Amino acid sequence: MKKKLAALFLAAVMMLGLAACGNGASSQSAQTPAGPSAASDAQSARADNTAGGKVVMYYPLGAIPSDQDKVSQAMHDYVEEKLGLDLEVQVVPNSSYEDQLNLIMAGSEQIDLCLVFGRNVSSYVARGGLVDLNELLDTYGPDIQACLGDYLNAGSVGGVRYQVPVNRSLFYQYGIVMRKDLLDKYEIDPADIQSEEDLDAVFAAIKAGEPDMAMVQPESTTMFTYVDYDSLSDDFGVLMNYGQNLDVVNLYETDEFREQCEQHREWFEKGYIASDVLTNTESSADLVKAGKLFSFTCTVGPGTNQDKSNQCGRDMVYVALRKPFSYTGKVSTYGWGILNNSKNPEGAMQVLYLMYSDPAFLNLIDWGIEGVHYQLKEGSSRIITFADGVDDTSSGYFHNWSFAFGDQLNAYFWDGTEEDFPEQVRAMNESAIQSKAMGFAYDMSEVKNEVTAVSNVVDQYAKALTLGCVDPEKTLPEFQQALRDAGIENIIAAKQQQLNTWAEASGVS
Amino acid sequence: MKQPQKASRHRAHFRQFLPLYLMALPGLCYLFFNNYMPMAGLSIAFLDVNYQKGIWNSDWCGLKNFEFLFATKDAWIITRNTIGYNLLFIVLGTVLAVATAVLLNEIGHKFWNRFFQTSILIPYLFSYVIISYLVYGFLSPNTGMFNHVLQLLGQEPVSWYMESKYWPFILTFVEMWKKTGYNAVVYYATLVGIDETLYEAAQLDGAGKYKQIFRITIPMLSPTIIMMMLLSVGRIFHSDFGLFYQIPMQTGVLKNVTSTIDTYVYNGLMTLGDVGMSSAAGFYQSIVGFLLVLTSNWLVKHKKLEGSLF
Amino acid sequence: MGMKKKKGLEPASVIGYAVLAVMSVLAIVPFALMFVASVSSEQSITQNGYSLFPSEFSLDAYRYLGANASIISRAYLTTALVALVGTFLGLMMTLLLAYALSRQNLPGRSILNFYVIFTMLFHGGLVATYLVYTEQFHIKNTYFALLVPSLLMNAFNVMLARNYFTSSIPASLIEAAKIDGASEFKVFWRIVFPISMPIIATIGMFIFIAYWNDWNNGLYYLTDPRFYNIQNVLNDMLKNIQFLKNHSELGGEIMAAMANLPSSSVRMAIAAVVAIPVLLVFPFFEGFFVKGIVLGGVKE
Repeated sequence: MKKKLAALFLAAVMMLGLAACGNGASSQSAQTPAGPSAASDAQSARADNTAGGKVVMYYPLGAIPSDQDKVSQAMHDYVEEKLGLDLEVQVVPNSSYEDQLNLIMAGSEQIDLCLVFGRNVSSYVARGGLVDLNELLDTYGPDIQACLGDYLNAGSVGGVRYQVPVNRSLFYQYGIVMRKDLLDKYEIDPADIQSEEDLDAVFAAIKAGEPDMAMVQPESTTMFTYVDYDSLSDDFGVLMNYGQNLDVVNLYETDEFREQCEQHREWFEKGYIASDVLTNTESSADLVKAGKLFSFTCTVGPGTNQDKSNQCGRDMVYVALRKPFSYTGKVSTYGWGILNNSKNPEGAMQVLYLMYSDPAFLNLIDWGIEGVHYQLKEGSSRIITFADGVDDTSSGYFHNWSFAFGDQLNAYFWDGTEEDFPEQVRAMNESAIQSKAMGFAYDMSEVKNEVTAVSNVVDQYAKALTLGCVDPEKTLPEFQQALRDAGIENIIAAKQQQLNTWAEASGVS
Repeated sequence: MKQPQKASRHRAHFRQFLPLYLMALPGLCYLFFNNYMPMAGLSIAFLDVNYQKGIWNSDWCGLKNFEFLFATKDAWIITRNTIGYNLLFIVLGTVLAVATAVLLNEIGHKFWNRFFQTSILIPYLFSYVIISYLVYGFLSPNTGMFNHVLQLLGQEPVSWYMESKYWPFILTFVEMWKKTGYNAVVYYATLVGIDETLYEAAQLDGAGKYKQIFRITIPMLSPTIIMMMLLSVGRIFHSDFGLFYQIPMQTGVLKNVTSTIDTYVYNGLMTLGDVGMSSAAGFYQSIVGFLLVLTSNWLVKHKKLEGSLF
Repeated sequence: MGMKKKKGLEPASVIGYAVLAVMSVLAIVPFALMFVASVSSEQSITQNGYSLFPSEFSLDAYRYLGANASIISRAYLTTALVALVGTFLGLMMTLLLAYALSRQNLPGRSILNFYVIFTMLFHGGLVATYLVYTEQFHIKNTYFALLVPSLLMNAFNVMLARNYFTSSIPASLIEAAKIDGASEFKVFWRIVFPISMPIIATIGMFIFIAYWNDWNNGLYYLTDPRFYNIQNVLNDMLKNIQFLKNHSELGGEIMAAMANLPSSSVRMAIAAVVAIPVLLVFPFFEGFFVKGIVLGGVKE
């Protein structure tokens, strides 16, 4: 009898809970812009396109600058003057940005325009978290198309645009960055290095003289491979050869992959790759600085020498080992989207457009208020430096996140960049080989289970194999078999099918 | 005739117990809005979440979100790891914690007692991220202390992070190191409340320390021990994420012995970000734990032991 | 203290001292290692790993933290206040509920027990909890966000206390008081509370540690860094360091800032900064509470 009572009681409590939740949540079911009053906070903004209307802009920064309020106010005033919109700027710390965005999407808080990382686009779209931008772009943002060209497709899923990429260095060029002083010491001319085979000789020469130093490692902690492929979002089924064909293949079964694992195994055994590379938590820059590493591989381009030298505290020089290449995942890394929570998508698009068309607005976001936070350098129309009386510790607005906003090539650049940097970058953006699958993003929902399983398998093997820590003779077949067991073939088949459909629809061949 | 009497007795009963209900009220209310109101979230495991329809109006998709947990060869491994480690931790953890509490009880000197209590709690304060760096300080292939000592002894250094066979020990050791002090304090608090006269009586009867511990202390502790064990059983499908994800420094090679249901879900859903699937994983873990607790609790009651949960 | 007075050292005590000494060493050495690492130079860590005797000392890590001193001290204050208030309120709620549940003759006791325990077994999930707290209670960016969700009271502590009450408080004690005409509140306050000091100290400590170590609440409910507690601030710093390291392709200005981050020692300094205050406070907690004396109660 008591147990029955308990069960009944519990059921009653849960019903109450459900009801309470339901009441609060029914307000979320009317999410469409034209929907009736929703959130219990009774926001006054309705989605009317007429004058006014609130737009909430939501984005992360590494650290919130002390003058953020001032700059947000300036942004608000500027937008009010130019567009007649009430812009509310919400800047949040980057460390919690993604977690919170996940939760915000589930609720009804008004967020209109926000930064969306490219790797999340598919999953946000799958949940219905982002708004279809096609029409909005046509109406309010025509020049964005002109600015980004085909790159605008990078944020699309199923032919619908959901994310607008930031315009910056949009290509990926695989290269190696090396310590200049050691190159000089061992009389090696970087111009002689054309490919990985040449690197072998270089490492041998330097290692002989520096036995305790590791020669190379990938700069970031991902898989050490420089096969040029379009990852098609997740590496599970890729397009080889710079994406110049439309055959989705299993990267981990290609000859190129195997050859690299073998070569890196050789390097590992010869000590070119550090024995603790798998667990080392130091960054490549720190290792170079400490004299424990000679070189590392990463993407290279205009400005690389200067950047890496700054980071490593030594003179560094780079050599490109592959051609500049661009694919969806690379382009869409940083971009902007309009959330389903939005109550003013039209206004949001207008503000977004401002970031691409109006350098004054962009510079405001990037660098703060002219004369207060920065000033133009003498003799330059686009290189800036600190305003008088301010430096990097005392400036109220110096966040270094300019890579995340609008058309970067249109804004000012900080001291230390070459005057024609934007032109160089534009040239490379245009000349880079574009993967044919630019703009294709596959829908994972039919292979969700396989993706989970394959992710775990890749996590287990890929890094160790490509860093040469395990013997590919034995482990590579194991890895390949595990992938098959996890269902990678299903993922590839699904991708291929979706790619074919998309290619037909988009007229790509 | 009986009815009105019963009614008034009920009323009197209620008034008599009203203060108790009032005392319980704040806690019950908190549990209501903190735990029961969100309980509806359990349904997310069965929904194909789409925010454009609204999370509560999304389509029902039955058990589809659960499939990924079983669709892989790994399903057996992760389950085996999760349960295996948990059983080991429950048994070993209880023994160590109780032993520590009993020993602590023997320390009469006030300063040392306090000192020991504080020291054994220190590990609990570290986050697993920091512990992983410290473990790395011992096990790192080149600069780690263990290898240093091995080399001094003329042995070959071991590549700890590449050999799975050491890891069950390493993980168990780390877990015991972190939790024993904390758990011991739980038992110690109960120990301290045991009536001194019991011991005095036993000593008068000629019982030695050993007998006193096993005949008085442990039995008096057993309700607490049983309760703690029941609670652990309820979480048998959960694992301490920090322990299994951070300490091995995410080295893939060790997966066979370090992956659990939680790490599998985390790794798998990093790219997918699927709310329904992660909710399904949580539901799966909870329901198994719930059934196990019901069973064990019934067993405890059946054997007429104290310490049952309900 | 529930044990007989010692007359000289007994074998049991010797074992006790020995074992606990070993455990203390095992606990203290890593802590010392962490602390020493925080004052080692980044160079020496990169070269030689963590060591109790680094080749080079340096206060760079603390200087880096010191540059953010105002944020950190503000966060400390926040954490301390939230922890104190939360511990006090939570402790009260927990004990009152546990006491009610411990009274054997309470009608509906098993239902209430089940109600409490069920919350430990099933959880609605992060999204649902978030929605309840933000949509219904609007706690985002308030101190309630740090205080209330999950931490204020949990079923485990309630069960611990209930267990203690049922096993360590003789029913006769309570009966005697009630016969004398005391109300339940009086019984609780005057009789049960004073002799439950050990469990109160224990649970109070658990709640306090939980508040001190928590960074989830801040992560989900706070966007304004001014409300951050110490874990959030430090976690934020760590993640920024990581972000910079993982996005080195971004180049330009952002990297100049990164060039001199003493990251390894900073991590350790951060850990030290979090752990040390708690350790300093502990002994006081202890001494204050663990004086549980059984009042001359009723003998069976």
